[in-house]
Amino acid sequence: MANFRVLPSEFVQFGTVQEQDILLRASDFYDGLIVKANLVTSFPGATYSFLQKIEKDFFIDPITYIFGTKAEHLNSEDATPKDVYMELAGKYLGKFQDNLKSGQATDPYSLTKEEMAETTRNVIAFQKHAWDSVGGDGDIFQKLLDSISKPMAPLFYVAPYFIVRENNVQESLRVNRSLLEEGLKLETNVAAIIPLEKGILDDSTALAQVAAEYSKTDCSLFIFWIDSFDEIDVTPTRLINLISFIQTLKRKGRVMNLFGGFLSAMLTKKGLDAFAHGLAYSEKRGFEPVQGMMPTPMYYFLPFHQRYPVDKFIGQFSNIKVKEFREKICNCLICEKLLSGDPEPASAMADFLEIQKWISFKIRSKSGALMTRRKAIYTKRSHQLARYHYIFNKHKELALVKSDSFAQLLAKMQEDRAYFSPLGFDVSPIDKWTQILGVLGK
Amino acid sequence: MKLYEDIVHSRLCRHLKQPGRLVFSEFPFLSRVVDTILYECDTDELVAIEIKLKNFSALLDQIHFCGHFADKTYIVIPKSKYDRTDRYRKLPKDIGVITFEPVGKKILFEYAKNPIKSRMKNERLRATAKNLLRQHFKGKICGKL
Repeated sequence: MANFRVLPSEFVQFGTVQEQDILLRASDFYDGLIVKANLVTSFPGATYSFLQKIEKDFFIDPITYIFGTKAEHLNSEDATPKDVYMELAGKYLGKFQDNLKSGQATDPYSLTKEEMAETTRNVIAFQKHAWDSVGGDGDIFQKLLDSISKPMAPLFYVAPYFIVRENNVQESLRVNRSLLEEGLKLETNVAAIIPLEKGILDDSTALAQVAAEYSKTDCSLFIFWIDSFDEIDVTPTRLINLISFIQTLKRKGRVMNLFGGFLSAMLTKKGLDAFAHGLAYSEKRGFEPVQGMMPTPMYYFLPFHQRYPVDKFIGQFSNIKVKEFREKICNCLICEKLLSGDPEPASAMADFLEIQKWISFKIRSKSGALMTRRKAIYTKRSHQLARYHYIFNKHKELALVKSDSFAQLLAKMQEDRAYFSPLGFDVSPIDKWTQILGVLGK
Repeated sequence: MKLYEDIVHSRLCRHLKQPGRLVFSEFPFLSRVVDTILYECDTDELVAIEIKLKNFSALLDQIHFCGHFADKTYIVIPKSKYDRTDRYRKLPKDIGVITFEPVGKKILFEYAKNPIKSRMKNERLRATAKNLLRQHFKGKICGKL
């Protein structure tokens, strides 16, 4: 059985190659990286050189589950499968690619024992040899030198996995367990990703069954992922079930959350070893891939442990002096820099939403008329400011959770509530966290 | 005539148009979109207008936001709503009210409450808004825009 004692506690999901600069410059503010297989396939050279430079622990998420979801999610605008998914499917299993070509999802329950073994071999081989072809023949010397000085091996491998469906827990577990056991035959340091539909959290029996099944394997690193799980809205029942799930798996090995935020940070006091988030938009993630335009840059508001467009607080910021802003809201490098150029927090923070251009589009309104709507496209600088501010604050948040007890965190929340409420802030997030802390503190 | 917000909006913009005034509907500012912005060329004033047929609490939140960069702010609500309660007469002095009512195929607009200049205005945010207007109306010289 592999030993994961050196597992870093805070991972960042390496979402796009555009985030490289920020991840490099802010590399002291997180511990490890998760690279998705589609990113490795699309940008092998860029991911290779980035990981060489950054020298952080990382692992590759093989995202095999997507071949079991609706095939249209993997299509490009012309309704044909995206090249990257076709390539990945071809590397994993011919059946995945054939189904994708014909616009169908692969039914994981229909995989034969041989197909599961082949998928596992291919998925592990993909993670082992992800960058073997980078550079081409001409760069072979450089590649050799690189590999001697800084080996490009992931911290561990991840077995293929599919979604654990709430309406068919038994079968989902059968398939996932087989895939995991095949992986453990090949390598000792193989982790399991356990993607759970949200409803399973309500069913303590089903959740216990999931934990029990995975515990029967020789795996010693379990990475769970709950579909579109908004941590702040967790009900007491779900939270109790989740803690019990973590603690059951913990008896067998290390436990990590693939997408988490403040609650996950607090759960590190209840047995969770590690958690991951994106640079700005991935404290929760649905199983269905999201596509769309560049979103609005969000400001991480540490006292509420939530992200908002900064103008949500523009009125309230007007009532706050710079000194108080630094003490009560944020004194990170980014906010300090903005405040040094403008002594009024309300307008200084507007730099987080600097508009580069507007795009117009037509929509049909309720009255049937064709209306022009506008959407702002924000500057690259605004997006960067939001990401740096986010990563600095997440680091600070985790340090705070590590140093304080639940009672101390609760006292700090009450103090913040007493400060922000009279200033006109909607303090309902603090109330929700207080309720969560009540359950965690028991 | 069944009224929809977009019909009231487009009629209001037509009603407001006059020489020396720039009218801009659907104005994106920070993360929001303001229904209508007027720029008064003679007085160098920015006026923000928000329209709602229902959900009036959201309307007040939107207009408070506008007060941070506009010189004057107005809400536009149905006349029947304004007459039914004195809630809108008692709004802060820096929020004006325009009412509307359908009369035949027309919509009549009326200034029911005139506002004083916004007390929450932030000069830097105002300058940013003006700059965005300048980008949009590039080529049109009007007052200090």
